Amino acid sequence: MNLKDNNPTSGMSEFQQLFVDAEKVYQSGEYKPIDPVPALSQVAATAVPRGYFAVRVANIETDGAVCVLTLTLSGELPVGKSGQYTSLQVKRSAYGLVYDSTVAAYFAAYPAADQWQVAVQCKQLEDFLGALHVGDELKVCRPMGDFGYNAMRDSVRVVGVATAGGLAPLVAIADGVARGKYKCDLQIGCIGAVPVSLQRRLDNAVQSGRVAVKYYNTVADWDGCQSGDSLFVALTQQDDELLAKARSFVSDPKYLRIAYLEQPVVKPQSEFCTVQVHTFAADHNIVGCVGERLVDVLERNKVHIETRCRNGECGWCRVRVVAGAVEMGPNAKPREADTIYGYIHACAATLLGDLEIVIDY
Amino acid sequence: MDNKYDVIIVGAGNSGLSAGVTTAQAGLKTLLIDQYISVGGVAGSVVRGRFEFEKSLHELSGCPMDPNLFGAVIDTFHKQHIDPPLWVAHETYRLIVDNDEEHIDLVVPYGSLQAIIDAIEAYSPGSKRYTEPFFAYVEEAYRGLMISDMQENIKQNPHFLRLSCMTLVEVEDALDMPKTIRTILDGYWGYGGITSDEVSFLYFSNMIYIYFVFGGAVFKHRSSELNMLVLRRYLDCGGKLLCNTNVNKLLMQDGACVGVETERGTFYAKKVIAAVNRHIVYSRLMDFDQIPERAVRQANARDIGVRPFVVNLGLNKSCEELGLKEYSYFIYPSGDPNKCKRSLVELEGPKSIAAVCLNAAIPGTSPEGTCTLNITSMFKPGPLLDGFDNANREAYTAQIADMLIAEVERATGADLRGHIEEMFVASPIDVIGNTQAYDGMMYGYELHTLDSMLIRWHCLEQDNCIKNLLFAGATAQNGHGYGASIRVGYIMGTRAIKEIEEESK
Repeated sequence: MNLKDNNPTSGMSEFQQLFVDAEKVYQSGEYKPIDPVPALSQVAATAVPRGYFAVRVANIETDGAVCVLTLTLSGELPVGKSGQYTSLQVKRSAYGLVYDSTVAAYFAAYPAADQWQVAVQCKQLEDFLGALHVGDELKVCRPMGDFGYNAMRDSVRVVGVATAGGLAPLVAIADGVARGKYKCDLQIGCIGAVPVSLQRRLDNAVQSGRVAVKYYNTVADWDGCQSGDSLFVALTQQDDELLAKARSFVSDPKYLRIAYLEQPVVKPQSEFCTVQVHTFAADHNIVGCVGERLVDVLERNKVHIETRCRNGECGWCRVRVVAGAVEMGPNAKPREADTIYGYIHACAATLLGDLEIVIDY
Repeated sequence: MDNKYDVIIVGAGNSGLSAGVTTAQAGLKTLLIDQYISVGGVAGSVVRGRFEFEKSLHELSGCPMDPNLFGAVIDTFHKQHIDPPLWVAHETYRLIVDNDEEHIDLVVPYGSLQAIIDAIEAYSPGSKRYTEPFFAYVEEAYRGLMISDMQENIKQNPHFLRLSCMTLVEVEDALDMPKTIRTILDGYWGYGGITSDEVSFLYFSNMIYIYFVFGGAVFKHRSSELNMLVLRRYLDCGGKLLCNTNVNKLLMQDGACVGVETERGTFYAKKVIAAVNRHIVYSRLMDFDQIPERAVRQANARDIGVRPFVVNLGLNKSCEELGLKEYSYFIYPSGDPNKCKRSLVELEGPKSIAAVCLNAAIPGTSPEGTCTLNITSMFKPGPLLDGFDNANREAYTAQIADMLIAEVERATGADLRGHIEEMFVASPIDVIGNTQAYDGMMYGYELHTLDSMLIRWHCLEQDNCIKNLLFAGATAQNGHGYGASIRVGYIMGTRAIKEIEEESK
């Protein structure tokens, strides 16, 4: 997924100004009461193809600045085998990728470096939030598998201050704020379907009075936002009507950040195809639609498949193709040998027709 | 679901795959079980951004490019009807020792012992009088290992028995070899902290001969290519694969192993090959009272081997632009193997490092205009290793990674830190986390003098003293590494076939 920032001059000072302004608005305004939560089926019917989550973290005690995190959710939540989510990344310029964990530790180890990119696990969020600086680029990456090195390719590129993938880190932040673990207030806007279990946790967090959550059925409902909030708009295609609405919402164009997501490959789901699956214990003959993601077909038919990133990158959902072909999405990062020997990542593969695969467990 | 097999293999790494192909192609009903989602164990690769990195440092020994030469590992592959696409770098290694007292910088070629003698002679004139007899002994020891009839062996290789009782340093002492030449020769295993007064000359000769004459083979698509190739052969032979499955217990009956209990059910077999560390088998998969005392003593007698610390860099400049001309680098803080060993124990000071730039051996292994560099150091028990246990493990890991990168920069003169696009670091703790390798030990037990090849071969029987349970893997018999584990997998597979044949009579 490639994002383009429409604001190439997003330098440090502009960011800082933006945060300071946002801080003023935030402190003077009041949160609106939560809108009634619509039925999930209703949400699903009207939701945009992908859900987007805007998060605002305010009053971080360490530096008093307001930071805006924007998190992106695509499809269902990935749950790792261990239940652990690899989550947030900080990027300060472009040194490259340092593999593991605690931001604070890295920052302490390299006080002079302005160039570290670090993955943080949910359990380390406290350190993470404590170490944030205005102007940092934030990424949330999906739980990764391969070799347990907290693999962390950015699943979504940052626009503006921050962007991310996966609802779990967000819920973890909300939990932490509600319990007073993080010294900040949090405002969350959700567009699109939220899994019931996570919605309950968000609702619980709201009870604390420090977290506010707004649910929107569609992007058209955005005008419920308060003037002065920074707005992050993620689009898969040019939508002038939506952008006009977004512009009218912000008091100053500098509050508006627009990102163009790569158009998802959506094939018409009219043509049925059969997927033969050989697992260790049994063989399955299941039906999918042309254009459907293989992982979705498997899960809908209750065929067990391990997944982590669900974005084509980590390789946990690797399956072997015996017959047939699939189209691999642009995010797929298979090992070279996988490609040679017919292994694909089920989460990045869309069906083109009948398929026969082997899952090695 | 079928739950009765001829052979069950626990662990689908190099050794498990090799054992599996061996038994499956002999027509035995074979089940290969691995905890991870795919095969290969530590010999695999991971993708980060535009780069694909090896999980650890690997070169395949015993694979001569010349089909007229006998190599034990390529011979194993041929017996398994596998023809791996091998590449060999144009040199064996570039040795760099640069401190206040010593300045060594030498590229050691491969291809023949004479080429190496000449290269050392050109670097240090007059060295021939030491290196020529030394390599004559190396060759004799290597040839001797190939002959099983001892009488015939002694006739052909009169020094063989004598050499097999000596350590490397004893041979060097006997030749009164100057220090610089020792440093060059000892260099091959110095990064692993293996000192010349501990390693058996026979073992060293075998290793040095196959690497110096055959070269170390690598794969264009990293180790995963070999894994997939071997797995394909295994599946073609009718072998069954069960990944993503933990083995919880070995089933024992009357002192014999009869199967395995896994999270997906119980499977029975005539033979179980444990292609995992025997420390793990004894401590986690068996009840203590089921383990013969001899087996416990024997496991305790071995020292846990080195723990790798790996830094993989994806660099946004080509290896030519960065000045990384050579494929393999050994960068040592000192020419003294004991000081090198200490550097892997103590906190302070530069470490012994092996670095590999795969692009220099095989062009096109990363996108155009980029290259990868694998930097490995092998830590031994002591303050250095203890650092990973403390609360600031991440910071500690980052510091060590940075130190190793800086050391390679200093030795090679290449600007690495200005060109890092991707980075992938694995401390010994990560190795444990991912592979469950015992104590982070990736390559096998420590190679003490006791691990002379002759001794280990003669202990083969006693090393497998539980009925129907055979051990394969890096820690099984053959000592360190990649080729050794493939070979021992084949040997154990063959042995399982033989035992099953005998029992069915």
